[in-house]
Amino acid sequence: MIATTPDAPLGETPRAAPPRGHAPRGVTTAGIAVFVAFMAAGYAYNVTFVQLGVTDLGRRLVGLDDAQVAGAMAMLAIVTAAVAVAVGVWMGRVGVGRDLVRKLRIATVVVAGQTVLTALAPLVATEGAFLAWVLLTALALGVGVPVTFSLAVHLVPVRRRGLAAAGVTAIAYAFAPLGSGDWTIEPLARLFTVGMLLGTAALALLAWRDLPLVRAWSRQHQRPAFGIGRYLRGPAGEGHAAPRVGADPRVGAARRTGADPRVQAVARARADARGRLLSVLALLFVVFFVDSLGFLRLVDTPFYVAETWRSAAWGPRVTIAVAHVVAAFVGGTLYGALGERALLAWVLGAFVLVHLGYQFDAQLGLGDGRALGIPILYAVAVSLYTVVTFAVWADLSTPDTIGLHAALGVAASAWTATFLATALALRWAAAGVPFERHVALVNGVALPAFLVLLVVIVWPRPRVEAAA
Amino acid sequence: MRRSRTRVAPWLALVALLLAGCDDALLGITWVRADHHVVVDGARQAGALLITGGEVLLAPGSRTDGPVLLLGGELTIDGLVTGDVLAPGGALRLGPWAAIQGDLGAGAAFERHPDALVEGDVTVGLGLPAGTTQPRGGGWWRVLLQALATAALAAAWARWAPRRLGAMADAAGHHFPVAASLGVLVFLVGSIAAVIMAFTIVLIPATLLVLALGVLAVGTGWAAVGFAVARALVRVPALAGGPLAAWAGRPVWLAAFGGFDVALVLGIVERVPWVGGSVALLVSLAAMGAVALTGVGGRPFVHAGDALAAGDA
Repeated sequence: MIATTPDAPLGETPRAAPPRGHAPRGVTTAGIAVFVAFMAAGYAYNVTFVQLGVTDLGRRLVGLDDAQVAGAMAMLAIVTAAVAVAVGVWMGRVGVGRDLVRKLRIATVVVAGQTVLTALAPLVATEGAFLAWVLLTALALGVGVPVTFSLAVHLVPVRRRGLAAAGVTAIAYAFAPLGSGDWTIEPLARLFTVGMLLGTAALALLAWRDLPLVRAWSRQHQRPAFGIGRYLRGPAGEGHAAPRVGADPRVGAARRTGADPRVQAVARARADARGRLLSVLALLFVVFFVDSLGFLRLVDTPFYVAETWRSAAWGPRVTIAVAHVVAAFVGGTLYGALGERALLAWVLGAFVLVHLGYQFDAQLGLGDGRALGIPILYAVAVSLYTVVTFAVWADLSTPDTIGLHAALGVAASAWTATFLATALALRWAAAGVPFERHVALVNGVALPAFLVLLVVIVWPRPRVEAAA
Repeated sequence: MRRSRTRVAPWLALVALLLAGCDDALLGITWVRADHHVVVDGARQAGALLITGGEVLLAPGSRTDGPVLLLGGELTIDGLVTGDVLAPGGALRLGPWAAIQGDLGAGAAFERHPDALVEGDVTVGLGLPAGTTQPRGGGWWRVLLQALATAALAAAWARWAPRRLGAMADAAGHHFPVAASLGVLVFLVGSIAAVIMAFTIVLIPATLLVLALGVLAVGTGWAAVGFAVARALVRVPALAGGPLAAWAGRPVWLAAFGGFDVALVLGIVERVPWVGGSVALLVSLAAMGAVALTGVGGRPFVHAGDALAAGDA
């Protein structure tokens, strides 16, 4: 018989009380909108203009060979990563992470500089000018990444970070497959210069005019609902299953030795936070590495892209774009709802399955290149992990650590993995490794990683005392 | 004791999967992907034979036990095959000495010598002929049977595992977007994993198991959605005093009523042009997601956002 007490009528679980002390809804909504717009524009600039445009600039306008362009891209990745980490450390030391107005001013200067660089890009004609251009672009990106990611602690409440990341992902990916595919530097530079001029003006308005909205945003990081990342809150942020109650052996040890449980709790929380950061860094490194290693070869294989991502017809491209958007909101919803273990298992699991799918397709000769099943799952997998990358660094941070954590995440996890994968893919291509073998090797990385993750997931967790 | 069995089960499953995939000969599968291969006169090829590329000749006087699956490449059978031969892809040729003791299914690229023997049924031109597919939704009888089955399933859950049904109903009712989102992933990942496993042949039983579990999960999810709907209806003031209110203290009847109604409504909604199928799919995905979110009702789902909100408050 189902319990029918007043607290739990008809077997229902009592629900959590609604939060109190919210900021006006308009302030929060406007903050989320600004964050989504800023991050989506930044992502489009980084992926479309820098990664694709630089290749065309180096090869076609300057006349460099592939190895030289790859070297320039490597320099871009390394300098960006180094500058980002340095800026992240600096932000934490001088307290910029807590100062929204300073961050907006830095971002305005960065975007203004990037606008000038973008406008000048088609004029670059020599190798020296190209390398200087790449170096300045890397500097701007390195400063921009920790500053822009750290806006989340002022603009996006912890509970809405999943959906905000979904918005960024949906906007960024919806336009990629729908675009014309003309990735030459001149049209890209024209498009981005106009857009970034508008963006610079809007940012300058926010940064230098004393707007009530900005004043409201600049205080929000002081509230736990904005300033304390979800994964720094212990069981309250884990979700999925109800917090477990039981004996934590570490707390028991603290009691036996007479140590102050509060000191122990703080130490434990810090150790847990470091462990979580390192785990997420490692996992997303694998995801970025597998994605880059696999997809780089995929986009060079006409059989798989001619009728899908680069189809002349609108249908397949619209389908992939819709899959990206739907998956982004699926990912955003799940990000806010699930515990980290389940979430990360789905992210990596989907990726492993996609690459297994491509391997089976290649080795069995099942498809005719027009089937959209695996490309759709690929879009889902990419959107899922992109949502995580936009939200997770803020949720592993406080206003003082967000700069460094975002820099480490984006630099160490994303760019390093992408750069290593690119180098390896170029090496395999030069060695004449066939597509089937390439995908099998990618699975050789992905499958063990997934098995390790499964072991971590089923490994019993230490139980946590509910409350003293 | 029960706890340790629960922990051992995933590891046993993992080891079984690894063993299944570790070596062709271990489980009796030969997979030909490229090059030219001949099973010569007097030789015996044991276990299943999967051909996805290259050329294979089963020479006169050879014997092949187990099924033969041709997906790509070329296969010439001129010896004895004791199992079925299925060739939806690639090119299949039966020579004068070919003898197949099982059934033969061949695609378009098929040649048969008049002296070739096939003891079982022969199907040429695999694939569904035009006009033989059933219209979506089937008949009203199917909808009614589906509703009755869901009602029975819901009643069974309410009778023997009421807390589990309650937890799944909570997840579906209170967290519909989360349940639907997870349902999307479960459906996508599960269906593609099932297809991949099917092509390994050794994992075909696992594929069938996944499909059966999927159907059971959707049915259970519908039962949970129905129970959630029925619980909500009980509280509608306008229905107070009606027969439904009398069932408030009888969860088995309430669950059966809800399960029947939800399955019936979905069966009807499914037939509405344009949006009907999508609505039914969405509810089914949420149902499946609710089952996954709670571990088949084994633990109540706590939305991380609710926990955070409580902390913020």
